[in-house]
Amino acid sequence: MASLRDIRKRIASVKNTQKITNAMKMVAAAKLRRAEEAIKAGRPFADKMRDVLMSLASRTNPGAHPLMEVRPPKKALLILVTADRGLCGAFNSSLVRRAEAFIKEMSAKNIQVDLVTVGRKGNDYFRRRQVGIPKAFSNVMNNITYELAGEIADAATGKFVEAEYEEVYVLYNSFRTAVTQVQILKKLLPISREEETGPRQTEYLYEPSEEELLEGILPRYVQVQVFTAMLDSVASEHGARMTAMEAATSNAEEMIYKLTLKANRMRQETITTELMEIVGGAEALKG
Amino acid sequence: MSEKFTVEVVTPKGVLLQKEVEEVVAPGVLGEFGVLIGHTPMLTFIKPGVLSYLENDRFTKFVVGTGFCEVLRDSVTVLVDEAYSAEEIDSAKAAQEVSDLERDLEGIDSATDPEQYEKTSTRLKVARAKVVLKSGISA
Repeated sequence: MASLRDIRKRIASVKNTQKITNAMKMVAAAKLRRAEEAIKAGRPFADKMRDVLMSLASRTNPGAHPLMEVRPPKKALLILVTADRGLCGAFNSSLVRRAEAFIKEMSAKNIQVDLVTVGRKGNDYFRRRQVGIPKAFSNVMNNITYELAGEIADAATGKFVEAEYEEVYVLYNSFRTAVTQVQILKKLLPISREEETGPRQTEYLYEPSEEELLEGILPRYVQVQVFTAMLDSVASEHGARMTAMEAATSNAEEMIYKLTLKANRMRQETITTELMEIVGGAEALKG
Repeated sequence: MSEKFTVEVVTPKGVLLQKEVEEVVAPGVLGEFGVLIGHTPMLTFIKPGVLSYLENDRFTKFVVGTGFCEVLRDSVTVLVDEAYSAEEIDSAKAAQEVSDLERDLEGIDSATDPEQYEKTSTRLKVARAKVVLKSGISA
């Protein structure tokens, strides 16, 4: 049975934890705001890039570029974007589960899946399992840049062009609102033209040729996709952490309330027992 | 005074410039080109260099990295990896950058590590453009 002192100690410890979770929540909220701004700032670039690419792609014949070449898949590469740190609810675990399901799904079709992990958590989970990780980017989510996205994209496109992989996917948490994240699994390569949004009327003058332009723009397009995936993931991470820490803080509150009640009751009990003893002693002396 | 059209400079970090201007001069891969309103729609690559636009008879300059440019009849959109306005650039820092990168480039063998060489040389070109822009303004 816990003594009164033990309970008091417990209360103090929960209070300290609550301070930490509350601080983490506020930090996450501040970071979330910044991450959201980064997403907004990056959007026009990505949209425009896509527009131009699609209008270019519709003018050139399929398979004109190695990155658009469709081959029967035997091996696939999955770029898994997780967080570097934990304490953000089910953010990482649900993503990792989704990745595992994907690997199983693909292996049922006799396609072997290798991973490129972005963020430490994905790597932590899969490195002890039977999954090839040709490249891992860890502790990068704090400072994501367009250049870094380029490195990741290059790693994937290089292997795709060398025909080591026939398909490249990306899996990440997409930012919807501060409290909701949606897992997105997208096929990155080969670049398909299905998503075309209708033909564009303008006839361009191409300088240099259409093929050369396409060749220059396609790798950039992949880079932008990876970049937006990372931006989204970071914002979702902060959102998820904020929610998780909010919950933790209110749970701590509840715990403190219950423990305080218990401590008070115990204190009351000891006082009552002491009183009874004194009264009993006095009675005994009288007799 | 000529008619105006919209120019936009967009980087992954955001829209850096969006203005009604009279003329744009951009560093294309096949040489610098100027755009006035009513230009034939065109798509071309941009190489690192100085981009300028004419507004109220004054040229304002920008440093841009690699990317591409879409010209339509009434708008010019420049999509580049990086871009800097004149106010953002510190001439001393830019000069330092150039000498640092020149030294780095010396140390890289273009035969064994072409990718790294390419990257560094692009960065050097951007840094040089910054210096050029700064010296042009102060002169």
